[in-house]
Amino acid sequence: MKDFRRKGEKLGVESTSKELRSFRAKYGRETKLVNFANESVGTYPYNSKEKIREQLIKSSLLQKMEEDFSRRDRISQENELEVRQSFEQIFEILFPYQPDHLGLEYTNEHTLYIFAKVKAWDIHLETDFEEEVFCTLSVFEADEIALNKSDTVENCLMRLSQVLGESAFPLDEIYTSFPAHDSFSI
Amino acid sequence: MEYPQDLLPKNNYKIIQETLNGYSLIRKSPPGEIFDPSTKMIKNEFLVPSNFHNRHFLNWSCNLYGPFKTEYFKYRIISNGLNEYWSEDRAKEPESPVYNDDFKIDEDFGSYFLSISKILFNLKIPYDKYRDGQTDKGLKAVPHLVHCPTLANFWHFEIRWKDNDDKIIAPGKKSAWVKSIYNSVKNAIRQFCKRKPHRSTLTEVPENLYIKI
Repeated sequence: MKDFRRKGEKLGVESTSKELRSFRAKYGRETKLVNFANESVGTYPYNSKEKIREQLIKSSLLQKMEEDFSRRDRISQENELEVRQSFEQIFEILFPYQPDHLGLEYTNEHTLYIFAKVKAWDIHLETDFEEEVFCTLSVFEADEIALNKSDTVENCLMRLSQVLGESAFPLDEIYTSFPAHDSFSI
Repeated sequence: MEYPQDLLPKNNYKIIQETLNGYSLIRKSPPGEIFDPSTKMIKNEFLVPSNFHNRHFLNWSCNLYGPFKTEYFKYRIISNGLNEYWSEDRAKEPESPVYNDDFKIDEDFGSYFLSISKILFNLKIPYDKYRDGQTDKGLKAVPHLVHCPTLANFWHFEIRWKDNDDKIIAPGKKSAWVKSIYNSVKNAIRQFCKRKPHRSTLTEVPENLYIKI
């Protein structure tokens, strides 16, 4: 069994016995961890420390998002919802792989930037909500760019999920793909 | 108030052609805490200030750390003419900028560093290009560090990018593959930029690299 408490400490999040009791009182069944293709990658009970860790990390990231929202130019509720949905999608993909680090920034350009350190990979994922939703995924391994993809959020996450599920990077499969059109206006 | 003389190009100077492996680049940013506490990466507003578009990552200005000292950022050029490129065949040596006419003092700035080796040797950005109904796959864009002295700063460099056909990628080109490359360059700069130069970074440039024999 993995020592999730140590992982939590790395992230600066520690579950307290009070939070544990509170969470156990609220949840009581098992949840399944799935990847983007809906394949099971593990399970843990709702009343586990792992679930609490997930909730704590997620709430700290959401709090950071709120802080960033408050510092930036006001955006519409629709746009805000779009950002939140994108965050939920990305978090669901990344978290099961127990990132050593996971951080986010809602930027001054109306993009959501997420950085995650998973195994030996540094993952940069930036989603641009202006004009059309466009995502750029860059994965570095030992300071070399191992994967680069610009596409819809869904397609970038699909590719990321494939990568995270693999034991080694298939360097011969490096590619970048785009939506069918090849022009846009800036 | 005197402008630093070691920033000015001299008649016996030449364009640096060598790769400068082991050196670092320094770039000016707005003042403040430039790294985000959540991502631990440079904050977007420091990487992409208000007058900057992501396409400018394809022609990215920076300075050679060492001969260009951090404190030189306080000399803010206000005369557009002095931001013009200097060339070796220029007949007249640039005159020293004059305080208040050509430059002002602005002590409020931040800065960050990039290792030249990391950029030049680790970054080959893969991309695909969609044209005429078909996709060219497995293409790579590569960076080039170009010495581009200006009349007021001999140590000014630019990182430019060449496509798979060895042609410079124009920042103004409005294609999806170009957008993909400059967004990836932005992520790469996030990955590599540091608060301080590496302790082993070289700071002395041998004279034979920039002085004509």
